[in-house]
Amino acid sequence: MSYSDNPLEDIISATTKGATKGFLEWSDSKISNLIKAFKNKKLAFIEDNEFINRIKQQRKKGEWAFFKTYTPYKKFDVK
Amino acid sequence: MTTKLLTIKEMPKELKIALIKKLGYNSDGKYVLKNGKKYKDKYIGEFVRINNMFIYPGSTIIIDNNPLSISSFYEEFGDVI
Repeated sequence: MSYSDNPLEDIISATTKGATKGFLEWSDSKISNLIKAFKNKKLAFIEDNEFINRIKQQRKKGEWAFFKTYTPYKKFDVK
Repeated sequence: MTTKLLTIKEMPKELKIALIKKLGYNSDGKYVLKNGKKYKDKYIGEFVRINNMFIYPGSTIIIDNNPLSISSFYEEFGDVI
């Protein structure tokens, strides 16, 4: 696996390709770079984009605006 | 500022654990731990599993990767992702 000049992009690329080999080559400093980007709010970690994309689409729809009118945020509580 | 999303679905569990350890969390191999105890999603009150996390920076928010939690996150923090 060849690395570019941007260690963050290397890690993202290896992660999205499911590169177990890449994991074995990752050093503590590379993980630290990932965390640094995270702490700078450049990066968030999610298991699957499916829900994010679906929710973004739903929030644009009229049903969501209607729902929000009659269901205040705090009422979402299902605990 | 829109934060870039990194899908960790294919990430080995060991690396996920290494990541959350850097953020002050831990894992027993199945659940996310905070201060030695299983960590709860603030929106649904369920324990967050290591293989179903959503981690957002700021105050290092870890929630369960489900539609309700993510919708609640959007309502609280806006369209930051």
